[in-house]
Amino acid sequence: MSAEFYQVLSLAMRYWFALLGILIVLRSFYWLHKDRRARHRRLRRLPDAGLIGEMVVLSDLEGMPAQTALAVPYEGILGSVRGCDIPLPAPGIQARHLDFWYDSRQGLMIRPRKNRYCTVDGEEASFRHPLAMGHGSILQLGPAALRLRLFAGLETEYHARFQDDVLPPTEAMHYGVQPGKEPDHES
Amino acid sequence: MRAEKRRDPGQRLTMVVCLFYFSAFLLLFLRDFVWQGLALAFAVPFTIFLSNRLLPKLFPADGLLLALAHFLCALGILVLYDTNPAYAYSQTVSYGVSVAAMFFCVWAVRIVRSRRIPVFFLAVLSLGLLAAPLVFGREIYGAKNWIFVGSVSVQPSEVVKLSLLVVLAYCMARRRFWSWFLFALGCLGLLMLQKDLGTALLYYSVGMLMFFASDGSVWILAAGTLGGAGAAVMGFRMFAHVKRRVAIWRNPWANYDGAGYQLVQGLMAIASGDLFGVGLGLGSPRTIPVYHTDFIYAVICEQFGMIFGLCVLAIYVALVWRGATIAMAARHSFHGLLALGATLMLGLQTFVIIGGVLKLIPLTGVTLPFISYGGSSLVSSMCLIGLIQGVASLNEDDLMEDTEIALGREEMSM
Repeated sequence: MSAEFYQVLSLAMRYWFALLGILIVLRSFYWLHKDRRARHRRLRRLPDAGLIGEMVVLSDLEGMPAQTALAVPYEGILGSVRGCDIPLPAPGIQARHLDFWYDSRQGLMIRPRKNRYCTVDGEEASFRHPLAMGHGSILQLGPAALRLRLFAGLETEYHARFQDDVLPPTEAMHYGVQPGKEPDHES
Repeated sequence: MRAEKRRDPGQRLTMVVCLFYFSAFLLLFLRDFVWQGLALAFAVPFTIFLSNRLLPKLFPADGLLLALAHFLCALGILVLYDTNPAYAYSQTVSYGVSVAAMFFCVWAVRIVRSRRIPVFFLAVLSLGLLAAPLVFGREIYGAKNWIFVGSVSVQPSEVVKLSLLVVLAYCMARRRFWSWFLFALGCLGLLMLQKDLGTALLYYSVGMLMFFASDGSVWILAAGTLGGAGAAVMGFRMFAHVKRRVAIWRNPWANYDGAGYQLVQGLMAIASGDLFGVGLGLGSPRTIPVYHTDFIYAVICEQFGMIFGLCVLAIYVALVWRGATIAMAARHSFHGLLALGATLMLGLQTFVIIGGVLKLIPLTGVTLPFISYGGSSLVSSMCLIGLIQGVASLNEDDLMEDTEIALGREEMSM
């Protein structure tokens, strides 16, 4: 093919390539948009997707009445700031107080961060000593007491030692901070 | 069923990608009638078609990610064929290897769900790999980051990218601060010794953003940014080639036939491309130094024009958007962090090199993911896509499990 003819052909093909480029971009973003809508629709049909149960607040807290149910995902952070997976704004609870994750054999594992404390069914958990929560277990941190309700199909062999709504005794060490340390709060 | 298939966006997008690639190769074939070139015109769409068919059969794959990554790889092979066919043949072989590596990564992500990851072994191996160029390597463009084994050359920092993400995601998900911090510090130190500052910048930024995603502390992000800025100033004072690159970035025209030649040629190529380009196979892309790796984006803009250049940028944006969506939908923090890290790695690398070519930031020697010439870069980029694909397939599995639980609950209530 002569150089002149190739040049004319190549110059003409520029518009074709630009068109295909735009088409690829439009198709990609259309796909992104369509998938987002499909996912929203699917999740609307599955309101509990990504959740293993809920924690029910057992006593009145500041801005959070008793019997409030907090959704519990498979893993995350519990703390007083809004960005946490389980936000619990109450005095004595640190910005990021504890990490939790669901273990299919043991239940919901609770591990407070360093220098943070909490109790699970009266037993003290710490960074080096994480504890498991089963269906009905009570988590006490600061003035807050929360009862875990696991969804059907997710219960483990572990059973809570406190099956009624009577809270375990609250002591100073249960208030989530080490004695002599002030709790930090982030807005 | 037939109507559903016809409406499948994946097939349509793949069809457009193959049409683009095939028509471009046909045009180049008409220029010089090389039959090997025509073979490439069939080989690459065949690989795209095969992987698009095979992957969804093995795992629940994300078709969009796959199609976009394939398009970018095909574009790279096309531009390389136009400028230097020998590079294109070599890149096609790397492309085949990278698709296989991507499949392996998807499988690996799915399997680690039930097994422990030997992070300590991975970390030691990565540090050893990064130290290897300091002992056996050769200095290329001011950085000693390549090792040569016979006729094969490997850039260990490209391989370590993957293990870095795995180790960081694993340790951050388990709140093992010191483990990942010391490992990342070791990697950065070795990269500084290699004088590979572009990769060090990438590792640092990805590590910092992953930590922010895992911990959520704004103070640590601010401290990390300040620390990064301090390290950049220190690097500027310590390394002569960094000073030179900053000077070129500030005014490349001051020494346009010397140190600033590369950047000036790149800018002139983009400008001469105008909106629709000079035409595929025309122009003079080979006048840009390192046109096949660092400056390949300038070649694309020259040949196809700025509109197409913007389309390529938009495709990277779509890729990052999709990766971030997959990371956010992950149920476990390890998978979320892994997908996020891989997405950030691809996104930041693209920003660093395109920003350098467009004179937005000082130029650093990193490759444009999927497009630039280089087997290590292509394989590692496709492996990153494999990691994201793996997480996407796990997300799909989790959603299916949720559906089953919900259906079981409905049956119980009835």
